[in-house]
Amino acid sequence: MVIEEKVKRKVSIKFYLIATILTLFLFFAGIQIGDQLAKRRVADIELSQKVISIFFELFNKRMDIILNQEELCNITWDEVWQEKVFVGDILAKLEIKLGKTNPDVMKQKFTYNEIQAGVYELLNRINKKCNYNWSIILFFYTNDKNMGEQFKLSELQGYTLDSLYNSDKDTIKILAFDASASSPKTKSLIEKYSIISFPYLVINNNGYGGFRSRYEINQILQGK
Amino acid sequence: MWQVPIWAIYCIFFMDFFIAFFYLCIYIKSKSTNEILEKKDHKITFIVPAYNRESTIKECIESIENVRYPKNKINIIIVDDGSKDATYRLSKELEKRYSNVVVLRKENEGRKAYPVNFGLKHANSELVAILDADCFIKEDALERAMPFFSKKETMAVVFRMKPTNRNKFIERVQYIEYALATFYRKIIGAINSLPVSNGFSIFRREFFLKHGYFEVDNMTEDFEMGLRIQSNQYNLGYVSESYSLTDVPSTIGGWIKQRLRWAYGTLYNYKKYKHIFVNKKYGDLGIFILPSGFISLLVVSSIFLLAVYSLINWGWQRVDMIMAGWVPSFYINIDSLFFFAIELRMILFFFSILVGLMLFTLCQFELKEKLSIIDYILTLTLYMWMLAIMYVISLGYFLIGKRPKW
Repeated sequence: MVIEEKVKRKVSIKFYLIATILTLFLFFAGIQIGDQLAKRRVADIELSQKVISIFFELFNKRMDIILNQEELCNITWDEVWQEKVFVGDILAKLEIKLGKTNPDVMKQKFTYNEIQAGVYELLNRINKKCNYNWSIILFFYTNDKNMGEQFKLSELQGYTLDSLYNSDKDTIKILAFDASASSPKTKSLIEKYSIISFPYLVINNNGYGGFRSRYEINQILQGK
Repeated sequence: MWQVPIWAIYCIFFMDFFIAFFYLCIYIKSKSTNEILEKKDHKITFIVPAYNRESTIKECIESIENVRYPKNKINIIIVDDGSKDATYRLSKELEKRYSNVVVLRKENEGRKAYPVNFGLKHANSELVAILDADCFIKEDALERAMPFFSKKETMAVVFRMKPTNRNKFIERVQYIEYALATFYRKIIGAINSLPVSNGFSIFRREFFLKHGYFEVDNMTEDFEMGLRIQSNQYNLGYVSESYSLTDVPSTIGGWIKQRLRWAYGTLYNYKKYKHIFVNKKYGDLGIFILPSGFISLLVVSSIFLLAVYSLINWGWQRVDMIMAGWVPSFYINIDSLFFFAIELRMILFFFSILVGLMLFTLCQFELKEKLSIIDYILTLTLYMWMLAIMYVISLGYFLIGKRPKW
């Protein structure tokens, strides 16, 4: 009978060790490669931040000049608005690169919100004085994922407003405020409309809490 | 929406690389060790269970007759399992034609293990080979297998199974799957950890006499037999150089039926032989091979369930957005893509593709065969999901204590 002979078993400890070392090496290489690639983009990010800072300074000065002008209807408003949109885009890119809750991004957003509040004031004045019939929408949202449904609806509201704005860029003016980056002027707006949850819309100076579909917003804009 | 924690993703990558590197180490080691084994021509009986195999039985028996081996040492027992076609008549013709062929007939009881056990009880040689009637073997099969039996602890030698049909999608991906399985089995065979037999395997008859025949109510009796051999501290050898040809399911329905049976049988046998798991007594098989197989099965099933959950959630979110007036746009943000691509998980994903390609290249080198890279990609992407579905369903069956249809 050969059957009594059993196989001599062993645990290949050496191979487990080699496999562990190689795996750790691969992880380490992955981290290094990611870092190296990211560093190449840091310069871009720093440049974006500088552009935003310079723009904010200039924009603030320009706003002061505009607001003190007697003939508000004669200013080339479109150019001012496009500049604001341009900075908004740079900020959005920074959000993608550094994350929505990154302290540097939040700092820039704080200033951006402050400027937007100024733009809102200006928009209202021009709209009234020059009879432009613009529809001005303020959109207060949260980027805080811990807020669950409010975060999800804020995101959804953002998409809705994007498509609304793209459908009529000439007459619809939307200003979006991240509630987590509340600047003094933003805070006073939040207090003015008693905003306690998000998303929150202010459409032509009237407050609307909760998510609003594009259809609902259109109805409000048409005064129905 | 609930998201997978990032550490879980890293754990999966770690496991993925660790398994790949471990097998690579064994492969390199096995290549550098050339053990010369003594070859002896043992007497062998082929058991050929046949149920409705009129189209293949002749070719199957002829392939055995053509094997390079002393003719007086080969016997063939065809067990007709109550076929309703001309299998029995053709088998009788073969019996008349070849002096070493015997045909037995029994009533069909539905499972392959019945005719196999029936045939085994009529065999009296030292070795018994079990060959499905739809399989054909190569001329060098026995020459390749016999050296393994010079080691007395080897209770079985398992052969590579090579699909004959590879035209349709389902056949092509199975071809790749069988090729990868061959490579994998060859590697784990090198550390005495092969836990499965298949459609063509040779056993020492003594083992059946001492430890019993195939389990008739086991859905994967081949797997059970492999585990039983290992559980009793014996070994299985693996022949990848020679092979048995077989037809794989060519319809999705046939494939589902087969895979549900296999997946359920795998889980059943894992449970039955749970004492091997994480047991140093069973060497690498207990410490790594079986646990990693089981964990991979759970991980793949979980990833599949999670992917379905995420897809449904994503769909609902889009519906929500469209209902809210959102218009889909196909704008791709390059910045966003770049920063996504340089995240560690994406770099590791890229590495795992490289490791996969390396193993694929080694597999082709080992099998001395050119495999289609497109079929390989299809196997790793689409086919893996199909297998995951089968495991999820089987897991469901298993948890509620029911069996899929045989």
